[in-house]
Formats: sequence, structure tokens, C-alpha cells
Amino acid sequence: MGSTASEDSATASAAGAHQYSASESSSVPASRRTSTSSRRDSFSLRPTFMQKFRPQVATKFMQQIIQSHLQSKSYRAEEAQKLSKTIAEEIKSKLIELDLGRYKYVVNVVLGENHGGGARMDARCHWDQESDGSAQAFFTNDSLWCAAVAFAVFYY
Amino acid sequence: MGSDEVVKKVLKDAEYRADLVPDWQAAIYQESIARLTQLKGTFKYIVTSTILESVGAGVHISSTSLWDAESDGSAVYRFENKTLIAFVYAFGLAV
Repeated sequence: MGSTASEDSATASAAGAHQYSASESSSVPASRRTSTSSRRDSFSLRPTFMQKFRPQVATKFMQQIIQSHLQSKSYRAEEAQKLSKTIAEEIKSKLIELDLGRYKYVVNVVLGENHGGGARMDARCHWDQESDGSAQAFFTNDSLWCAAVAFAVFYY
Repeated sequence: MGSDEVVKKVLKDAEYRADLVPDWQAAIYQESIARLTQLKGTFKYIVTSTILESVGAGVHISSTSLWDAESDGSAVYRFENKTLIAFVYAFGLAV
């Protein structure tokens, strides 16, 4: 049985002789093993530019989604709950379509009746600023207002 | 979750004033995140607060997420008094 020391371990095998199995063992020779496993095991702690969540892209389609749903609508209590849920689900599906494999998403949609009262929606996040991000969109007309925010959190 | 105590403490007898809202929200975030980061486990936290003036208007909030159901979670707290309504959402996402 060929004694094959893994690349990670620094200890020589008990049998003493082979640090790199070349001959009778059935495993892949060390040189080849190193190259393939380094490709497989490569792990990045930060997203590359192409893998990164880009807020401007999300803001644009979030604005489109909200506007298309609420353009000519008035606030109606029975409809509001379903409408806010539909908007949230649609935003989430669009985020999934972005195909950023290692992101988790949270989408919040607030839909309120417009009686002239003040409102403020805010968020604070305890996360990794280099990899995580958020996007928001807002819409208002005479009878309702809607605020949507999406958070994208990188999963290491 | 401690978010109810935090919100009640900040907004207990408050009357809605547009200029005070950012300060209330900042106080809520500060305490919430301090408490959350003391919990066990390595999590990223998002705390969202919506403060509205109570003028007889209806409001609905929906939240949907794509996450790992076994490790991630959320909590929501609603506070209401004569002049204002507040919703505070806290999300915890495992790294």
C-alpha cells in the first residue's frame, strides 16, 4: 500500500519511506494531484468584481417592478397585503435571476396609504462592507406610497 | 427577542416629530445591534425600522428572503401609540 502523505500534512508517513507516492500506489502522482486539487479547493473570501452585488442594477429593476404594479392603483386594504407580498416575491425572483451564486437576499416592501402623514424607513447593517450591499426603490402617488429595500449578504 | 424592550424604551411616551425620528431610529439601531452581536454564533445582522405618523392610514409590510432556513432567521416587532406606529425588523444571516 503506497503511503501517500497529503499535501497539507507535513509529517512523513509511518512507514518512513515515501513522502510522495510515485510507484505502486494507486493514487495520482503528487504533481498532478497538486494542480487539480488547488483548482478545486480554491476559495475566495471576497467576491470578485463580476460576482459582486451591484446596487445600481438592483435599484433599476426594483423601481420598474414597483412602478409597473402601482402605476395607476389606489390603496385598498384587502388588496394591499397581497400586493406588497407580490412585489416582494417578484423582486426576490429578479435578484435570483442575477445569478450571483453566493448571495443571500432579504427583501422588505412597505405599502402605505397616503394621508399626508410623515414616514421614515431606515436600516442599519452589521456586515462586511466590501461584499454586501443594499438597494432601494420608492414610489408614491395620490393615494399610496411604497418603499422597497433589498439586502444582499455574501455567504462565505 | 430583546427588540421589543429596546423599542419600548426609546419610543415610550414619544409623540411623532419628524425631526426626532432619525434620532429614535439611531438609538434603536445602536442598542439592537449591541444586543444582537452579543448573541452566540457568527452572524451578519440587518435591523430595519419604519416609523410612521399615525393619521388613520393603513399600512402593510411584506418581507421575503432567500436564505438558509436552518441557520438564518428574523424577528419583527410592532409598536403603536397615539401618534406613531413603528415596525422594527431584525434579520440574522449566518456566515
